[in-house]
Amino acid sequence: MNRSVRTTLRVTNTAIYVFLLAPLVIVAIASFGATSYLRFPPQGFTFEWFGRALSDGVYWSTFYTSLWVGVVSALAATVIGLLAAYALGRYRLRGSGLIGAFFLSPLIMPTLVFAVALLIFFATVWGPPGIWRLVAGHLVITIPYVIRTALPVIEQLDASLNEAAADLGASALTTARTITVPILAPTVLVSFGLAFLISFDELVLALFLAPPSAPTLPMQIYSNVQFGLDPTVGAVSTMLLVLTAAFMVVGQLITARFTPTVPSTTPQED
Amino acid sequence: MSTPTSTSPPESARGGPVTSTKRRRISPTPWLLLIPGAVLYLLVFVVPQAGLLAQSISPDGVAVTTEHYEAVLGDRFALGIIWRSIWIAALVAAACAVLGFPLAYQLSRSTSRFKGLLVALTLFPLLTSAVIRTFGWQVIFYETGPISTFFSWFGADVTLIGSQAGVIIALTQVLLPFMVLTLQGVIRNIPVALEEAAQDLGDGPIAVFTRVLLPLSKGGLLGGSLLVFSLAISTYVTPALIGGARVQVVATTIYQQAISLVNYPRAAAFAVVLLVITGIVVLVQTRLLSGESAAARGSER
Repeated sequence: MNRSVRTTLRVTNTAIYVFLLAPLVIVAIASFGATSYLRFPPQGFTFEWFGRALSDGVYWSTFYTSLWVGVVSALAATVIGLLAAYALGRYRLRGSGLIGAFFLSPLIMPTLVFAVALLIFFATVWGPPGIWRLVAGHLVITIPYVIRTALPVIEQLDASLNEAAADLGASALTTARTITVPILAPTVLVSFGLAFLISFDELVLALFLAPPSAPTLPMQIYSNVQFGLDPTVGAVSTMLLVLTAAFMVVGQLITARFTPTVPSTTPQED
Repeated sequence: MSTPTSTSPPESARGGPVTSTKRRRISPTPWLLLIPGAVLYLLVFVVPQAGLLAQSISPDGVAVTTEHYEAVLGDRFALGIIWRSIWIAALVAAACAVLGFPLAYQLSRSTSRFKGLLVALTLFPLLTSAVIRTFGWQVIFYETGPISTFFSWFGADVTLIGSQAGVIIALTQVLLPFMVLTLQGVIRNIPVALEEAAQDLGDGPIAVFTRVLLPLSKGGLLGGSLLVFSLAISTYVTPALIGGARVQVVATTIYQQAISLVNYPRAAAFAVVLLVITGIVVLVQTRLLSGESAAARGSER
């Protein structure tokens, strides 16, 4: 590649990165502005909106709802997904290709269509109470990510390690505790983190399934931004961006330290 | 949403924990492990999808009617919404292909020590909520925001909020990482030697692009475009917040019918139409990908 091509490419890509990151950076910068609505470029400088966001009970209660939904969904999705991935990765099953495709199929289903289907089903036939409807929906969209993250690792598990442990007199439980669990631990952590992040950020299923009495944080942000450019929402968004970045760094550190391959992370779109 | 990867384990791993002598033994354990997931999927995934279809053709569960599909496919206004959605999604896919290629090219060819950072910067928007990303575009597009201010210096009155162009720009940014990820995998597999050979034979950079890179990454460009298309046509938040009532698309119509008007049969009919559109796209995509990998295998031999 000659010099001029390289320079052109570099300039073009810098512009594309600006485009890709502009909305996030602009929200973050504008949330420090002193005007009563978010504007860019900002005028003045203040921490007032961060103070207001942190002292606003609505943001805290919706944050706790999202946290609860995220943790419960991610825990259950990790357990259910790992069990399925273990069955698919460790055993020779009749039709395992088909079963795997079935478990991954929510990935190719638009979340919006799934949300309407669940809404109508819960409203007309049967549904768990309140917030559990949302948890049920989040389980289905996060389990495929758990399976996709864990399956390659489980397939690589060396069966001879377990056999060696058994030959040396270890019980099944000891083998699981000393061999299988330590090998799978980073995968479990990454699966859980990914499932949590997807559930925590998810909006469409929440709009269709969460009870009006217990909105999630994305719902709260969504309903606030519909009515104008509230700088408090900007402050909340900025804090969430920082949290997400921290989460990403931790996830990268875990994967870099324990596994040679990076799992594909392609969360759903709202 | 993306294409599921192949789940069948490689032949060597198939034996599982059982040793070769016990290979054929049928154990009930794996089936027990699959039960929780299967029950959950059946209850809250399979049955509700069937219910969606039922709701659209027979709301009372007794009489079958095509009324709701006629209201979607036989009505000029509704058809207009569907075409607009397809048009917007197609433009977004094209824009992502154009912007995604140079980015993916540099990421897959880069040997820089900042490569990890660049990849992370591409992925970061994916992990942030689509609401926040769209919120950023609202700030940029607002009547007194930077874009409108910039154009007002030249005496032009440009407001992107509530416009189709605004929806397309915002959706392109929201979905661009998917295109970059898809293309990166494809470009990484094109040997640099091919580009160098073309250069040595006198091809300029444009000829290298059109005669080497483009033909070899055609599959990735098409696959990525189809993925972006089906994501763009089913995304709700961005058209709802940027386009609003002035840019109605299928996704916002489904929400309106289901939540605001509580017209379940109509919402179900729109949802099934959306499902059919994305289903066709996924079918084309899987055909393409399987053809592509077969071709790749062929060329290796």
